[in-house]
Amino acid sequence: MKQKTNWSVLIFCFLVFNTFAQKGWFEQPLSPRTANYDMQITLDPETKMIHGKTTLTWKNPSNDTVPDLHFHLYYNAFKNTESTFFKNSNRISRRPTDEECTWGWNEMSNIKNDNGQNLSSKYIQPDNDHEADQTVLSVQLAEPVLPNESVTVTFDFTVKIPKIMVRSGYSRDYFFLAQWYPKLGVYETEEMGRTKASGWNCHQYHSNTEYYGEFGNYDVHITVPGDYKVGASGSLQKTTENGKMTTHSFHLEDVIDYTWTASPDYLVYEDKWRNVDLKVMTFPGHECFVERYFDAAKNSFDYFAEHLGEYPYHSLTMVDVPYHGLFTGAMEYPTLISVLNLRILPEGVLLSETFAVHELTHQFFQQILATNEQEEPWMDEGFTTYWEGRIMDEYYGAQSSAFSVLGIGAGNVEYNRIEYLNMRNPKMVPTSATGFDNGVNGYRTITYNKTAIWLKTLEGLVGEATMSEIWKTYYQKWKFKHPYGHDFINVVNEVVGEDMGWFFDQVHFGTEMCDYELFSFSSNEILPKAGVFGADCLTGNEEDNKNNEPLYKSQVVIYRNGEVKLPVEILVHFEDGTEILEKWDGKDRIHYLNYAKSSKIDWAEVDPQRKIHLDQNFTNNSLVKESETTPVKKYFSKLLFWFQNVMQAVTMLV
Amino acid sequence: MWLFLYLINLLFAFLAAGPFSDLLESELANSKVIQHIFGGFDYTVFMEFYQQNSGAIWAFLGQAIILVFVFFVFNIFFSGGIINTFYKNKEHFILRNFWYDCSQFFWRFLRLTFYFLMFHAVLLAIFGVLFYTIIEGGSNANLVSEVTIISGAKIIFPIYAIFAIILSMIQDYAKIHIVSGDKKMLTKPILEIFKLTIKNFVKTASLYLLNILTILIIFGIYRLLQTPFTSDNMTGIFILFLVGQLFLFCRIGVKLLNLGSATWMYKYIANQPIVEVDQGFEEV
Repeated sequence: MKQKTNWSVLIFCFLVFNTFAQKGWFEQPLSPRTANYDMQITLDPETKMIHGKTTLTWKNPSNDTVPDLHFHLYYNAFKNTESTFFKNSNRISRRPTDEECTWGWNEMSNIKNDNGQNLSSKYIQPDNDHEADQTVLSVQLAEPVLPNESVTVTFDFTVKIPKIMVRSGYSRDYFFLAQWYPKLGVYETEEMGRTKASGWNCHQYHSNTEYYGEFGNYDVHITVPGDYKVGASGSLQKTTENGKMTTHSFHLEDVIDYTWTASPDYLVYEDKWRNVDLKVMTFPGHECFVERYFDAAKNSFDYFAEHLGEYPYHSLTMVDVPYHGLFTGAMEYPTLISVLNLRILPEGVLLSETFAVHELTHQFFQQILATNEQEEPWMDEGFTTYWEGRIMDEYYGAQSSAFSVLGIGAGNVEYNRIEYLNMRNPKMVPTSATGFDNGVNGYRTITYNKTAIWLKTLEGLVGEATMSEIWKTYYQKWKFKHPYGHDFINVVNEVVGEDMGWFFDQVHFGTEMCDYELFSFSSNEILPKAGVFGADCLTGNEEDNKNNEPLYKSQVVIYRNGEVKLPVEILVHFEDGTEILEKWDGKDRIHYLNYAKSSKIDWAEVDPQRKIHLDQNFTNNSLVKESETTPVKKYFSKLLFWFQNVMQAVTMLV
Repeated sequence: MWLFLYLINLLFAFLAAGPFSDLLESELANSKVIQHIFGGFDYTVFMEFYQQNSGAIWAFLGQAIILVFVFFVFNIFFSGGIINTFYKNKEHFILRNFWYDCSQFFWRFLRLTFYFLMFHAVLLAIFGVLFYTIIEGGSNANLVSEVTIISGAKIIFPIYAIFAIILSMIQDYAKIHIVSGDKKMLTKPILEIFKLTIKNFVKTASLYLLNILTILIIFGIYRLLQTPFTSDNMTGIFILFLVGQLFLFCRIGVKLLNLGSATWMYKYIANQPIVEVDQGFEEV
């Protein structure tokens, strides 16, 4: 048994050396390369089937002896209505209804180890008792894998592609293949995860969550009809024609997933950013978006190179999905993202840019920093939304990066903040909730927007320089690994130099709201002393009892209306132009500031630099002594003119 | 009459816009954020304003809609007076005669407006169904590209606009026809005017087109006059307000011009004398 194992290791080492000596991209592997795939697949567009063969090599990263391998078979979520995906889904309306059978499924067969022994398998349901769910398959190994040893298995697989369901499928002759192949789960070691127990982390496919994958290399040979254009994760190595079919061979290293697309109608555009090959694959009618996608990608790469780290891969393909394949849009996969825009929207709506920046940001947050999207979606979607806001506001304007149409615009960050604050119930779940625990209607906004807003608040509290240090440290420490929430929090504590639990407990693990209000201020003249003082009776008019210049006793009153307590600054501006910046720990319900100065207060403002983005009402943050009505007059005249025109327009029907 | 119609328009718009302005002043005038909206639109300020005052905003909006409706009814009322003034070709505008004409034709014009609203609704429904059919419901399951929606709209909307404009034009001539013959029943006059207008389509449509062109030119001039000024100071706000009011005044004027010229055209195509002896009340 030992000898056999040694042979296996030697063969594996030889194969790995041979493969990487020829094709290796990086001098040193960037990731642990735990799960490496070699796949040969053929697409049959007529039957909507894929037939494939996989050689998978998995290295046990733990100190455990592992007896089995757990695979995601995500397409089985679309096999019938009894899958966990459909049982818990509000997406049931998207189930196939036409006469043609457009359900999708995925099947593994002929599973063998490197000795040619057949391996048994069974479907398991790690998350619940939905026995009909077939989205996780456990393959029993003939011999357990010892710590740090490797195992190679081969298997055939058949994929029935569904008519586009969620993120994946076919529509007409457009094929978008995401989460389509038997994909290994992540074997978590004791140091990882929230449970602290080692084992397979391989959840069923829940409708409200995304994915979690293991690092590895991919060699994928995709055979499609000759007129089909193929886009895929990784770089094209070669194409081989075989009669009416063409095989496209792709290679990719140190990634957690693999996605590809094919259609005869694709228009393909190419560009470059430094050494990265950029590609936009789009459809007739969408040529006008191509440059916008390229610009957004280049801006994002520039920004990340400066603020986080350089994009390490050699290619990025942006798939601009067709109208009839809209549900495959706006998703992130290694070196391939799907983006979208619609010609019916005004140019000022920056959908192309927003999606390109967002999905590209996921190359860092979810791909390189390979977090568990199913359990902690805030770590990829929330972080990505925060970075999307930074990039969009930097390149497209803080008040126009979401949209700017006919003089009405909004910046990305402010748009995301208002979207969260306008939620019907912004307290519904904390951002720390797992993907499948989140309520359907609030999942997206809490995970994406609230996380982004509290990150922006953290940036305001610790300062931009410290926040930059946090991100760089987090990236350097955890890139090409699987960080969990506590790992990020530990980095924050480490860089800030204090336990920031008070912050995370409130904004991340808590659900309460934040609101500080500058309630009032007053300035009253301090009058001279008057009355009986011993034997003297002062009238207040005595010369030596009078101040040369009047003194004013001023008071500022600040309220904490919300439950969240954050340190906050207050700026008090006096009539003589002097300003005092006060710091308050923000804990009491009411806070007073008192002054005795020769000048009255002109205005005062809580959080003048808007560091606390979680504050749900900026309007009540300030007060001025004399109200300013000119802007009101401006809007009144505009509104008046608008109503006059509406009324005049209505008379056209008379 | 022109000034009177403008002042009525101003009054109703003032009643509709006033509460919004008061709310804006009470909520924002004492906050520093008011400065954020001075230069231009500020999403954060407006959305927070909406969030904090959505109840009041919707109530005021409801009130504004009612005011628009009342203004609409007022305009139906004024139509009789306006058209008879043009039809009789009076040299002097006499308010008493005007009110008499307004009341005399009000119920007939109310019915007429209702009928033509129905015609407009039917027209809209026909083109709506046509558009819906062409774009296959706009569903991404049916369409290859959303460009089909744009192409469909480019074809359907102008055709619809032409038909809607023709319908509005016929409605104007129908009012004149009713005033001309002091007709009590509406069905026959409507049919008659359909025939008459279509028979003289080139003339009536050319005149209508000329009036549309006039309002477009006025709009262009308004935009030109507006361009050099910004509303970030009191002088700018005042000038822009005046320019806006001038545009509104002209817009109302073009509406009167349209009715006046249509009355002239009606007499021309119906072989009626262009100038009639005023048979209304004598000037007091």
